[in-house]
Amino acid sequence: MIKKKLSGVLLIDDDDTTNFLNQRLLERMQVTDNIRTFVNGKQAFDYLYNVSNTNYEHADENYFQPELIFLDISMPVMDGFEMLDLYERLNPEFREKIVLAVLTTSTHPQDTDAAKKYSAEYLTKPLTADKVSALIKKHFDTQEKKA
Amino acid sequence: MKDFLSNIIEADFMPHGHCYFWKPEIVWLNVSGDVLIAMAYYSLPLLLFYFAKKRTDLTHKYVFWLFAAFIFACGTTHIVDIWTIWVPTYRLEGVLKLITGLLSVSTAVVVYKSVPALLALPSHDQLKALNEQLQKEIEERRKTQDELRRVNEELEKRVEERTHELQLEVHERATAQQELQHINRELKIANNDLDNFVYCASHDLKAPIINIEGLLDVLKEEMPAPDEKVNHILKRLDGSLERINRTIHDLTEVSFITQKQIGVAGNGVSNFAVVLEEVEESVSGLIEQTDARIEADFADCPEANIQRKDLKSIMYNLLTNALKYKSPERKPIVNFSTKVAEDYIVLCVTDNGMGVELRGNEKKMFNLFKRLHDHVEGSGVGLYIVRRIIENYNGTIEVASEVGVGTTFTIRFPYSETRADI
Repeated sequence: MIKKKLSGVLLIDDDDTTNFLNQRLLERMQVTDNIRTFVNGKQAFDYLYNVSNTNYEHADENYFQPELIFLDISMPVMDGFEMLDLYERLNPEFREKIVLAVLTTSTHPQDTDAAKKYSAEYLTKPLTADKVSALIKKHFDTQEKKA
Repeated sequence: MKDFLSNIIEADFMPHGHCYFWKPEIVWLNVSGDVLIAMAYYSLPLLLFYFAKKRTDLTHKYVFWLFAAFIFACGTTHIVDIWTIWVPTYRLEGVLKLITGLLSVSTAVVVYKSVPALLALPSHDQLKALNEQLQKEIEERRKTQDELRRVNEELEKRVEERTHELQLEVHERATAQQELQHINRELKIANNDLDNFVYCASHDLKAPIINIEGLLDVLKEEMPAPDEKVNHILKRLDGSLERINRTIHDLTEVSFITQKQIGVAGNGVSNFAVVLEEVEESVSGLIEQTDARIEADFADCPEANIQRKDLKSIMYNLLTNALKYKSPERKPIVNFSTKVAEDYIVLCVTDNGMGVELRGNEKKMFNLFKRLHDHVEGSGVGLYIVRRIIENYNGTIEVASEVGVGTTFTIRFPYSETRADI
């Protein structure tokens, strides 16, 4: 179904079960071999900061360049939009390779508008195989064609 | 005659004493009698003069004058009688007697004529009685006046009391109004909190429900092929999840209405026909499926100062409602019409559906999760949403329905009302 696996996917959601279900879905779809989950924006940002500065041991399998990030909005410690504010300050070349999708239960216009501002995709929960396929088709098939 | 007048004091006759033979006892008897009569006659006119002078209110004074003159004249004749005993001036005596006679006759005539007038004069007793009656009347009048004064004082007192009471009442009313305003403010805050609560609750419930759905799918994949018993349970689980999802979806919609009212500033003008067309398009499946006919008459009032999405929501909910509760016996006909009545724009939506027995549930029908039918799918949110939107415009919604005939919803929007303040 998917021609080329992604280099890595991050799942950021404070709900363990959501992360468990989404990770299972992505594994079954064989989207990637590298999936990491985080329970708040702070954790995820720290990780992205380290990766963007190659501030890690190359041998460490826990660190990889992500190509797709699913981000929940409502989270304790640091919510999705706060994380996006910080994310925008990261190295642009690093960010270029990443597709960011806000994944939330909220259909509040305020949230959908905010997602547009950050040039992020906006997906409503639950994450399904169809939604993932559509997203990959939109962003990564064109990339392949270019390459 | 000339001789008579010139000889008037001539004593050329025999003195009257000769008739008494100058017998001293006869002479002095007559003299003393005449003296006494004269004294009495002379004293009476004085008294009459005095009386007539003092009584200034006398109406027939001339009668007194005449009387006085008449008595005085009588007295004088007796003096002359004594005089003629010794000096025989009988001519003078005759003249004086004639004058006295004339006075007497005229007095008698005058008194005779005055009798009716004198009779009419009130007597002392009559006057006394009259006076007493007058005194009585005066007393009564005084009493009445006292009573009047007392009543007046009482009235003034009552007016003062009532004024005081009214002032108290005005004060109480002002206090009550303030209290009402306070309660109203608190209610608005509570209402807002409730809306926020609904939004948060629906939002927070959504995540775990989605997860339960996901986990159930995973469970189905992971577990060995289920037998019929387990399948039955799984089906029920799916059904329950579907229901809770629908409720949460509706709740989210409700919270949207209330969220929308904050932040939306201006008013848009909506065209009823255009919005109805949009609504029909969005439920074209349902219309086809029920073979419904939609009628519209917006000639009287084609437009209104209502946000397009609000009007769409109202029309959508009322139309789907009408189709959902259609009569099983006939094809549904839904009629939309508008008119201007007094200060209101009236939107009427009438259907020929199954109708509902309201039995005083007219108001409850628009409450959240209130459902009057139990055999048709629904969460009891649609009419609540409609009511909330209409209330945001300070409008009203009423329902009339008859079982087996149909239902009419009547919505009134204030004609020039802008959006209600929250």
